Amino acid sequence: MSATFDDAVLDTLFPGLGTIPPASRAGLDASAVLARHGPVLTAIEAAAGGEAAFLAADPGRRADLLEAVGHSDPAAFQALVLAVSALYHASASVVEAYGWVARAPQPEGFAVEAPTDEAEAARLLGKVRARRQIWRA
Amino acid sequence: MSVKRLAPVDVVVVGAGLGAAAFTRHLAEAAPSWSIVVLERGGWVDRAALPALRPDFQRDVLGPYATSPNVRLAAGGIAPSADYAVDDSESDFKPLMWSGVGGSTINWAAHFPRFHPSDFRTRTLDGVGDDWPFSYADLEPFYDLNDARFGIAGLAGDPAYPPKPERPMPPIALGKLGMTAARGFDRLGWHWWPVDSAINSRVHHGRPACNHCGPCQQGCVTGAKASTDMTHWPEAIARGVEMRTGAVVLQVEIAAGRVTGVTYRTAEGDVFQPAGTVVVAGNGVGTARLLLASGVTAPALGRNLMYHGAGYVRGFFAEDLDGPVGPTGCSIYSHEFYETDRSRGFVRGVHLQATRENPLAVQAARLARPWGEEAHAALLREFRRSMAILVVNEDLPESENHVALTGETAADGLPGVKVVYRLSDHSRRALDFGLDRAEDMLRAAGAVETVRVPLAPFTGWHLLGTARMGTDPATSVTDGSGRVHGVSGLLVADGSLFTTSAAVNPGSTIGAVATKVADDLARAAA
Repeated sequence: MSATFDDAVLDTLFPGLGTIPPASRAGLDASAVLARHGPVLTAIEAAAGGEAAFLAADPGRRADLLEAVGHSDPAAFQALVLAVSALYHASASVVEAYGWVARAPQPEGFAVEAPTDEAEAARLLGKVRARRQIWRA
Repeated sequence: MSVKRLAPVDVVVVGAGLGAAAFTRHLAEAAPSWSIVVLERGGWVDRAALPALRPDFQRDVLGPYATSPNVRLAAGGIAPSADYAVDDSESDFKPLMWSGVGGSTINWAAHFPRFHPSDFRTRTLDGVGDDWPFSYADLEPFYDLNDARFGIAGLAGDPAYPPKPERPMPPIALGKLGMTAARGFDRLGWHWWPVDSAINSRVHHGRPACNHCGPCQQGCVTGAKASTDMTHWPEAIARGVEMRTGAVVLQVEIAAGRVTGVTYRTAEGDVFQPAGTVVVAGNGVGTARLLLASGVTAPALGRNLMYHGAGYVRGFFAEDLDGPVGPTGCSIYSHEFYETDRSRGFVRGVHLQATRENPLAVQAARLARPWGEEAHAALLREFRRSMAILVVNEDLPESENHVALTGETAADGLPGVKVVYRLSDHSRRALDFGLDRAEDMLRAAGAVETVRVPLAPFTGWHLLGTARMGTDPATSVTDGSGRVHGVSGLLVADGSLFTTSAAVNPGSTIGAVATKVADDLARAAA
């Protein structure tokens, strides 16, 4: 399978949308994943009637072809989708396009508490605290 | 192959997870003159190697640091967890665990609730399951001891429980998500309370406060989240306990109705460790696997596997709810519907728990259609704006749900293991009720849309009941002190012992029960 075909499949799985890049331009190294799921790619090629036919198809037709392969072998197709999805949604350009920070969670961590939370929580908990025992002896 | 024979010891503990740690930590103090050896198949976690220190950490969440050992093995495995494959093809829930020092406390959420007093008397109160051989009051001192050893963040005064000791740390910060959930429960007039967490909200016992990094279930880099490799094992080892890692126990050796020791495999060869007492604590799958492989013939062994029924409702909000930050499972919970109300059409109850959002890749993997333009649209709608209410129900013991050997030898030298589990009609009714209430709450909290997930297969952390306690050897495997019926010197000290499952996470109760088992053993020998 050619790199062009691989990119076309990746972009059918995860096309761009607005500032979100398509998979082929998200900086992924998907070669190992695609090699591991080679039979699914072969099935897509066969369903299209050859690599050239898949490349010539418009995005809607390509999506239909992937859908058909997904119906004929759901487990294998799902495995490919989830493997590519994990790479794609972990890539810095995609994470940032979704409005999040592309950095390791540590050592910085994150802040979560607003200054007014504690007082409001205490007020609401006061109502719960005032209830009678709700556990059974 | 020749087997090396070692000098005898008083006690061998199989496993180094939560139950083993609580047992050993307590026994080392209660019986300081005893020689205790711990055999752990995995190794110690290197915190500097954990995923949260890497920008691409999300890739590991669904691969080598997945919560499922089967997924980790498929991704090539991860050295500190000496995983074994579990055939879960006939199980509605997939077993999750960590097989190294600390056990599943390495990748748990550290949500740390106690059972309710009624959970120990389900037969008497509601005519289902069985009563435990002891009560909440009997276990309470061991809850207190084990809580102190873990270090708990929480808040006293919860009317859903008998009074508990003041927690040494305030609850983990609720954040926008927790406050939104609190307002939802409040608008309905329902109980809610910040969870008890085995996570530091302040510096405590030499460990730092949580900095809300997010991926608790891939191991805690800073050590703010308690795991027994930090909380229990160092103290036990300081008291003279010997920990041997990379030691896969193949057989508990039994002769003339009493244990003589264990045979285990190391990289250097097989070893026989003679011992007067053998304590098995390998979780509800691993313990049953080893005891079945060792020829223990109790009819209930491996039976009555309980996971907890689990499903969830996801609510999508118009405003930002923090995103994938904070301890996933440690926010707030409701026990408004925990105790039996027969008008609901089932007995026992449900636990509702607000859970925080996951990293983008995990959120994406949860989409109904996880690819194509639709996936982008769905993910843009929910990322940073979603909250899941987890519904957990009390899974009743049923003999047909079980752990069995496959008849083939696995890569680790033990027989292969299989879990067979089907969600009962009772659990389905309870979960459906809970999912309805979760939708009510999310709407009250302001969710603009909800999506119901009736069953959550990858929640199989709670591996319970396969060596259950009881008084009748026909229906139980051990007595109330964890001693296996009919085999002198053989004990169990983990969640396998549970007579029933309650409807909350079992970690706190596993620790308390294992501590009690150790206390009973030391007292019996005194």
